[in-house]
Amino acid sequence: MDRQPTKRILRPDNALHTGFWKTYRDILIELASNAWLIHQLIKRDMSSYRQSLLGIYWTIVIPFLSIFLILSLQSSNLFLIGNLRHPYALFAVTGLMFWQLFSTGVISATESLINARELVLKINISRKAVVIASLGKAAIGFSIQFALLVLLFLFYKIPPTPYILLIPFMIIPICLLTLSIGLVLSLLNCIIRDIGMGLSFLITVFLFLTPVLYVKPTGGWLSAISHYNPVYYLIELPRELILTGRTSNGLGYAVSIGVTLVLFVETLRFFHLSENRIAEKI
Amino acid sequence: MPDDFAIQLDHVSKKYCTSLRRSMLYSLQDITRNMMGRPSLCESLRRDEFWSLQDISLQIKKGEMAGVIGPNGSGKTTLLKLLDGIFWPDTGEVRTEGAISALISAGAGFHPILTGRENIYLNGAILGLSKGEMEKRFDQIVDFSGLNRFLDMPVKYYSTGMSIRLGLAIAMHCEPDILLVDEVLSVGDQVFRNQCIKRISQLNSQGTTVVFVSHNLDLIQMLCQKTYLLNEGRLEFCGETSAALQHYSLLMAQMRECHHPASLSGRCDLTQTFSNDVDVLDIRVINEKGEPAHEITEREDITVVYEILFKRAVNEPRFSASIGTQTTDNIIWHTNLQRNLQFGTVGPGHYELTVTFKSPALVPGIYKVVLGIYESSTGENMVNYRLKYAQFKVAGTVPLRGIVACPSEWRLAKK
Repeated sequence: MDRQPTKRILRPDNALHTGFWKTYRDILIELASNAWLIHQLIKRDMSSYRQSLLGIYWTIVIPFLSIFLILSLQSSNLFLIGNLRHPYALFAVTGLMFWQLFSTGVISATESLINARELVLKINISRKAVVIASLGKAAIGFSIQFALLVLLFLFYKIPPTPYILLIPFMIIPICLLTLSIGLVLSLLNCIIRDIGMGLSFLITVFLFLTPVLYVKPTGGWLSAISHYNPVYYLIELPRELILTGRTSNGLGYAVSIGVTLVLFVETLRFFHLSENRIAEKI
Repeated sequence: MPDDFAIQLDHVSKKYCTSLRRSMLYSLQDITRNMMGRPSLCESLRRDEFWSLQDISLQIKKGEMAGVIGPNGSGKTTLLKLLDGIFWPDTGEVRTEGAISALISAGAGFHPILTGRENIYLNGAILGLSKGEMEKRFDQIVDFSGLNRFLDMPVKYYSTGMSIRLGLAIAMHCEPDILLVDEVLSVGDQVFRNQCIKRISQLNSQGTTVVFVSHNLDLIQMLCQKTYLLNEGRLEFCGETSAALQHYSLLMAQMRECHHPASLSGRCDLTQTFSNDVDVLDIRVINEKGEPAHEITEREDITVVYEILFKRAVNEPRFSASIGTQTTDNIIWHTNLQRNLQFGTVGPGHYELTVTFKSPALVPGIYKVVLGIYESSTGENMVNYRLKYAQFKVAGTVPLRGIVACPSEWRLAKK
């Protein structure tokens, strides 16, 4: 039992009496000592696929369906993808791979604390570990879509650029953004259930507002929105690198990473300050 | 904190909110205040809030086994959750020293599709065991649970008893410095329960501090040196277990009185009878001088006067006069027919029936006297005896169990 510190003092608004840097030290210690727990929780989440035929491969169904849908919309001139130098499937799967890491991550993180209600209510379990572990599903979905992408490259006989090897690093910013949003929403969802209820709708709307399945238009309101959308940059730059090896908007990417880092640091503190109030409300 | 205390509570209070909507609002308010670096409004009661625990101060020494008792809703589980760190106090301070493990719910976090073996690892991790610690203890846990044959079966096919056994087995092997035990031991069969209690005592003798919440007063009496009595969120008594149990039975007796407003005043508001033809106007217990008495001493005669109004002539009434406790209706039951006593036809009018129970061997406590009236010729049940009664008290120290009083002599000899 090395999870809990040997001496512990609980008092109201404990975190207010803790210094700024000590708060982050506490968070780091907590996360480090819960690595094994996170591993076990991810394993548990994965087990729910055991009783399904397609199992984790369900994650490929969605990209296939959306590609099919959009291609048929385009052929009837209902939907404009934009000018592409690559086959649409490659373009879409690369984008969707990152998008779904974000969207499924945010959705499962938001539900994570409520789904673990029994635990949070009865056992003093690290709630941060619960939220982080919920991203495991999204990460595994990502790796399966990555395998699909490799197959598509082979199919079209187009070689990806060497930048594809940088994928493990390229997913870090989008993971941090996902976790930041997930941390806040998971807590708020314990208090106000509307958040979980409205989320999948909002995420769908957001998908259409983010140029993932289409090329960013050169003008108009959609372009203006994308201009301030960090998710767009965090997806677009890796995609450009993998497909063409060139980047068209390095500044936007850098700013998005900066925004993500600030958000991550702040939301982590928010979660740490507020999580003790949650167990009784859940 | 002085080194010899494992747990110290200093003026600790915890409040809950009865309104779901308000509780949402209050949480948002508190979180916003905290984020702006201001204290939350936890020290005062807002609308719809109430104290679940109020101003609790206590210290539990290292290696002690402390009991916590109290009626339902007195705050026992809240106290354990505060000690465990699941809840944070709204005022005061909770200080603990050492790793804590709680037997608040066995098997919370079991995943139905995972096998028993996988769940042991998962649950161990949830309870705070590292991989290495788990590997060391795995065999002990399996032995303890006695479920070797079912280890590779998904837990969803386990019976309730089996999953609780597995859950307890894991929790029992965390070897914490402080072990919090809630009512969980009341499930499972006697053999397994004994096994658990043995394990708890063993941990305690190895230096683990144990806080034991239970309604099983026998267990508390046997295991705990010191016991805390909670009532309505306050610490009503703390001290030696036997004294705490005395306080508890007294408290329970008082609560039963409050529960029945008729109580010792001999009045009962419930006048429901089955028939309009008869009315029980009053039931009272009297002493030798004929004055109403609410308290008698052990083995004293109990004389009860029933005032009955017959509105029509009743042919061969059968009166049943009985004494009961709150939980058992008839521990003494007499009828006039038993005694071969027949009253013939009783004409309309106001009657007074007097029954004396000769030196009944009742243990101290609160009893009720009730009356039933049947018309023998028709078999009509005229008075609902359950709803019409008076109460009296046998003075003395209320024992934990038993309804018959008798003196006893004891001897222990080696053969």
